[in-house]
Amino acid sequence: MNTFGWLVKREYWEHKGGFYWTPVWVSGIMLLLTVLGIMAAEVFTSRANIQVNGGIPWELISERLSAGDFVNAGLGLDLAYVALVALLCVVLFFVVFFYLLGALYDDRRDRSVFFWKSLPVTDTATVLSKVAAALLLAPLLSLVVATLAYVVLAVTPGVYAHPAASVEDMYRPQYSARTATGMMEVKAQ
Amino acid sequence: MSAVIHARGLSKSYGKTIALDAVDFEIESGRIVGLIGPNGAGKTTALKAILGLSEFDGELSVLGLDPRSQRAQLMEQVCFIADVAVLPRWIRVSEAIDFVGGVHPRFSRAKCEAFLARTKITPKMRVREMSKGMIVQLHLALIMAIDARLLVLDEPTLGLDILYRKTFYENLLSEYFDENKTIIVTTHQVEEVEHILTDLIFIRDGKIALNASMDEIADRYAEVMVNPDKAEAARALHPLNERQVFGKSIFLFDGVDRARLAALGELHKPSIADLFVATMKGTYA
Repeated sequence: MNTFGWLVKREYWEHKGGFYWTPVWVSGIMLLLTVLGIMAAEVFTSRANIQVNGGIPWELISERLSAGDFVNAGLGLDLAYVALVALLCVVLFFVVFFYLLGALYDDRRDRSVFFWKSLPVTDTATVLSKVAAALLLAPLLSLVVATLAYVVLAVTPGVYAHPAASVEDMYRPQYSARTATGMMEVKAQ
Repeated sequence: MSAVIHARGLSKSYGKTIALDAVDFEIESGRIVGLIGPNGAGKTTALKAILGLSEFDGELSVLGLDPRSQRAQLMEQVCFIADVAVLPRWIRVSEAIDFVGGVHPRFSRAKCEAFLARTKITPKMRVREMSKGMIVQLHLALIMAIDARLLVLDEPTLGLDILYRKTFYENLLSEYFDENKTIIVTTHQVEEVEHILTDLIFIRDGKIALNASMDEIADRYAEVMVNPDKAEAARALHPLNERQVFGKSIFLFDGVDRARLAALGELHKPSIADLFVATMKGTYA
């Protein structure tokens, strides 16, 4: 790796918290909230509607969907992606803002500038490496994290079970119903 | 031997304060030079100029390069420890080694790791978790693994305990220094470096007060312990300094004939600390 690569890597080491862990935590929380939302929605729909089908196989859905519905479903997924990225962009703005605010100044304040200057690195390269970290490295990392989170959201393989919904008429206990429990499977291709 | 540093009329002022006043000096290769002066005498200013960390007036070449315009090239040949604890606090030991290895063409990773293996420092440690002494050990390990021609140490042992200070200079002498290398050191702990120095520069109020090799100093200066009855005779020879110990007077002489001094009393080789005190008399007055 050349000197410039090492300089950018140094920025990454120093600001790993902002550049890497912040988008990871934000996406993680987003994913968690989404899953909670899905669960809540499932529970509510099951309670409101007695006739809940048990697990619907994907083949059945795809048979019933028209081409237009597929496009709509695709747009829906796009929207989920955009929402995730938009949130991370807001976070990124703050991360980069504070990074740039402290860049060069922090080195002087903790006197580590004397150490960096004792190495054969030009001042130009140092400044450019910080610019590159702010304009390329941080956004790129955010984008990668957002994309990974989106992929996790959309296609985590596994078998998901949703529990049976039950309905009872409070004063006429002879009327009660229970749906079948359902299974849904997302397979890795 | 060629001059590693060549300065002519080196000047620097901060506003109205003159830190360096047209200083001339030359430092030869293979020397260990002590740059010694009271606080605010211009030591650090001189070192900063040599290292290309600040602007200056006058003529200065370091290893044939101009530190103002060729700092990056110069730093391939020059190392410095500017003060204790300038390593960034967030960095890990392994990262520091990787980084220096990555940007410095003359860095030997094996040397650095061999040195660190003898300390309590582990690769996973962060600088902020280390004691001051360990930080200096790490810094020294990084610097000693670089095959540089000039090493500049500005108060390298400030605030360290005596064990660290001793091993610091021992390591420097036994494992780093050879005839192709030059070391410039500034310190207030003069006693600890005087046996390793080959040359001495005293600096006072931005001017060089004394610039001589240790051999020359041993020839020129002599200290005599004189009984009270001969004190007047000693004062007649214009001593640099006089102090009282156990009822006797100790006089410091510059360039006075040995035979005449021996007649007055017991001759000693003056310590740098005493020489320093005599030379700098009245600096803060």
